[in-house]
Amino acid sequence: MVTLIGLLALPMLAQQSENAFSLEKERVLGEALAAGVRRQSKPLEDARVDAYVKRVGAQLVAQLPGSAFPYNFEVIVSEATEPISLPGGHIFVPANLLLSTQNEAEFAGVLAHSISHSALRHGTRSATRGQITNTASIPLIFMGGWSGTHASPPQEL
Amino acid sequence: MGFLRFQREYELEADQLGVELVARAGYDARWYRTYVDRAQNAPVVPASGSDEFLQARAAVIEAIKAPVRRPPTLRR
Repeated sequence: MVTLIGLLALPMLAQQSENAFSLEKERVLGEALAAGVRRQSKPLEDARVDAYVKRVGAQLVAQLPGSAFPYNFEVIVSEATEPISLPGGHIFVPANLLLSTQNEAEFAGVLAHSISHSALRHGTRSATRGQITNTASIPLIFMGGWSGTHASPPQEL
Repeated sequence: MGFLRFQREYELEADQLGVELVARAGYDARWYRTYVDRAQNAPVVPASGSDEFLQARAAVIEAIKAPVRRPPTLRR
């Protein structure tokens, strides 16, 4: 199953034709949006947690067949249940996520979903399609939701 | 903060790539879905697994715990 998904998923990274943003413009937009999040949130500021999240994040990013952005993981004090995934590889991880996931595999799954939104450039593709009318409106937060289409029943674990 | 959710088409794409990333990274991909089923209802759940995960979790608990308030001083 995973192998089949792999064959289907990775080519998606190359299909960016519907994006009017250059990578450079996307980086600039991502920086601006990330600055907005930083202004309105509080960093957890715990070196152990930062190192752990960056380690898991880097391990997942390393599986991408070349990344267009330098991914950046920041842990914020938040009770949100999902990370904020911004253009340009900025991922803001709510500290609560480490309390609401059961183990590293589950945590990595949530993080991988967020990384995928950035890697597939969903923010700027939405903007290109006109689904976002004003990309300069800060704060504009992109959050990943879940479709759960590639799930196995939990009872198999 | 304002919030904007991705449309369903993009969620499906993110799932396709996300489950592949965890599998390639060596995780059991069956855990990819489990969080979704209960996350909103159980903000703190029992945990297991690697020491590193448990240590990071303990550090979060330590970092975000509410400051302990001193009891009011009684005047004599």
